[in-house]
Amino acid sequence: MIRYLLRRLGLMIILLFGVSILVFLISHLVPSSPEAANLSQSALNDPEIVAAYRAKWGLDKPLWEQYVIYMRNILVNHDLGTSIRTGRPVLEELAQYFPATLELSIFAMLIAIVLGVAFGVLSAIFQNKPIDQILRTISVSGVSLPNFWFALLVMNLLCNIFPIFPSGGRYNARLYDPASAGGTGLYVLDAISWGNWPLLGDVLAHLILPALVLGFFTMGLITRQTRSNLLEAMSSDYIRTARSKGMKESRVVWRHALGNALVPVITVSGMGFCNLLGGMVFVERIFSWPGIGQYAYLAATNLDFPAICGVSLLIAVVYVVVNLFIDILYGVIDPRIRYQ
Amino acid sequence: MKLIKDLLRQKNFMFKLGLVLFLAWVLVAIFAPVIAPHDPTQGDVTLRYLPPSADYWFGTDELGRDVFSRVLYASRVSLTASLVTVLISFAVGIFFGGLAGYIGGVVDDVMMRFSEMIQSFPPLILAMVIAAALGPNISNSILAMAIIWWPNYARLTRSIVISLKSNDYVTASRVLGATHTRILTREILPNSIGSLIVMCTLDLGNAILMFSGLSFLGLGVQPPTPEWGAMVSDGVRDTAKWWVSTFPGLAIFSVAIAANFIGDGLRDYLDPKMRRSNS
Repeated sequence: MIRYLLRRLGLMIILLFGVSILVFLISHLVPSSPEAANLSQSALNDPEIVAAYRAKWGLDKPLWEQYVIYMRNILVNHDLGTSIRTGRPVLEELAQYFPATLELSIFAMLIAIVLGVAFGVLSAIFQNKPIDQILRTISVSGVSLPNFWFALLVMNLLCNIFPIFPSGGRYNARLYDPASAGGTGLYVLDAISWGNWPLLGDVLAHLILPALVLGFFTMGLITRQTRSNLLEAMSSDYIRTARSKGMKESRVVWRHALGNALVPVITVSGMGFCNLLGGMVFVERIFSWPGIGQYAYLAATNLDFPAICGVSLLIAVVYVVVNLFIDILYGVIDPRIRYQ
Repeated sequence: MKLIKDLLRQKNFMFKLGLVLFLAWVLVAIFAPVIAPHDPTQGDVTLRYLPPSADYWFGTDELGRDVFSRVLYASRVSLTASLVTVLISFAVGIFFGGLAGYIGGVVDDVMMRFSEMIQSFPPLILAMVIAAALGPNISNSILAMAIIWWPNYARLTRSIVISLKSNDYVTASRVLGATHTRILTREILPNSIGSLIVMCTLDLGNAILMFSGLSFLGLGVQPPTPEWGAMVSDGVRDTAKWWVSTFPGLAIFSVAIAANFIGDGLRDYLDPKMRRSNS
């Protein structure tokens, strides 16, 4: 197991190294002039700032040296550059936006896994019955819906036409101000730790629609995977043995088949999480959620290269770490993987 | 041909529905100028934000343009862009994947690490960054998507080639003196084409979702060219005018779901194990 862990960690470091090269190349080679891409217009008119910028990132030196400087600025000085759009350090902004996204994606994943597995099991048990047909239609819709459109539709329906849920934002700014209270930034956790139940209700009401829309695609993936795995497991020999021993059908499904069927679902959850990170851009934009997705959108459309690089690095790190976690989980659950 | 006949004989309603939907969109794309009742780019501002009516089936948008005609015309850009993206990724992917799987060694290692690097980004984020960096337009967003997608095909081709190349019939062919090119193109690729085609069809749905997503963010097709994703974003400004965004969104959804139905049907057909459990 230790060897397996070390090998995975080693691969992760190589991968992150590659990602940093990719981000570096995009930010330094694509724009015709790095100064123009990384400095605001007023800063460009000041030769002193331009000279200081060139010295800081070593723009007169060969490309590989520039990369070393770039990495040193990130790893040693914790400096991802300054956003052109806002003039603030990118790292500071990322730290500010990240909790909102973390909270949203955790809830979206929870919804996707719980509903996805439940729907998948129901679908498999009632194979080809009406309930299976309905659930299959929902899951195939889940992977075909453009989520920017779905988000807009859901918001229009449940926030404007039938105002059941509050539209946009993380909380009602007229009633609460959790941002300045100095919590973790994860308002659900903060509200619980402060014992502030009205705030918790408000935060959850704001959270549920974006999380549902964001998790819908992943839910579809998980439903499909659970259904087909369970069906495959149900036709295997050990299930026939269990049945022939006279075991109750519910016990056969829950104790014997599902355990084996769920292992590949973990991998799909990883894929789903990856998709969630992309879907975030749309969902956060439509629900005015102040998170990384919104930040990535603003960075990309304003060609704010320091911010684009910072946000891509952050997302790649999160993604690689989550996948490492899934791989390890997979190795723990299924010993065959570990020994390969 | 026999494949298509066999497929159609299957009792798979979803597959047929997907096929009909998709072919319908292809026809719409070809005959858009004939079917469209109004000009897709010229609007009359005095007629802005009209709700759906007999004259304007899907209503009009902010500039008084007919949403129905725009939805029809937009199928041209969206379908072409998705098809081109998938074809480029497919071609590049099978070339490098086939090479990596067949030769192995350093070529294989370098390619796998490179594709892992690209795949360690969430696809949309990377596409956004590349499209923004290159400058937002149709060909750059196609390029951005192809850069992200080809590793999927390369990895699939590689794994199939590796599993096939130790088969007896490949060895037999090599013993008979066949060249590497001949072995790859005549023995190995024909046997791996099935799963690759399934992947292409399923990807067509993903490509249309991502392409319209990029346009929705303003990083793809630029106005006044009608495109579904960009049209949905027109509706964000005033959500009460629901028709502006609802119909183009439905169009994206219908193409994506058609691609999924066709892909699922093909996969079930090509994989007898799945065929049994789904019948």
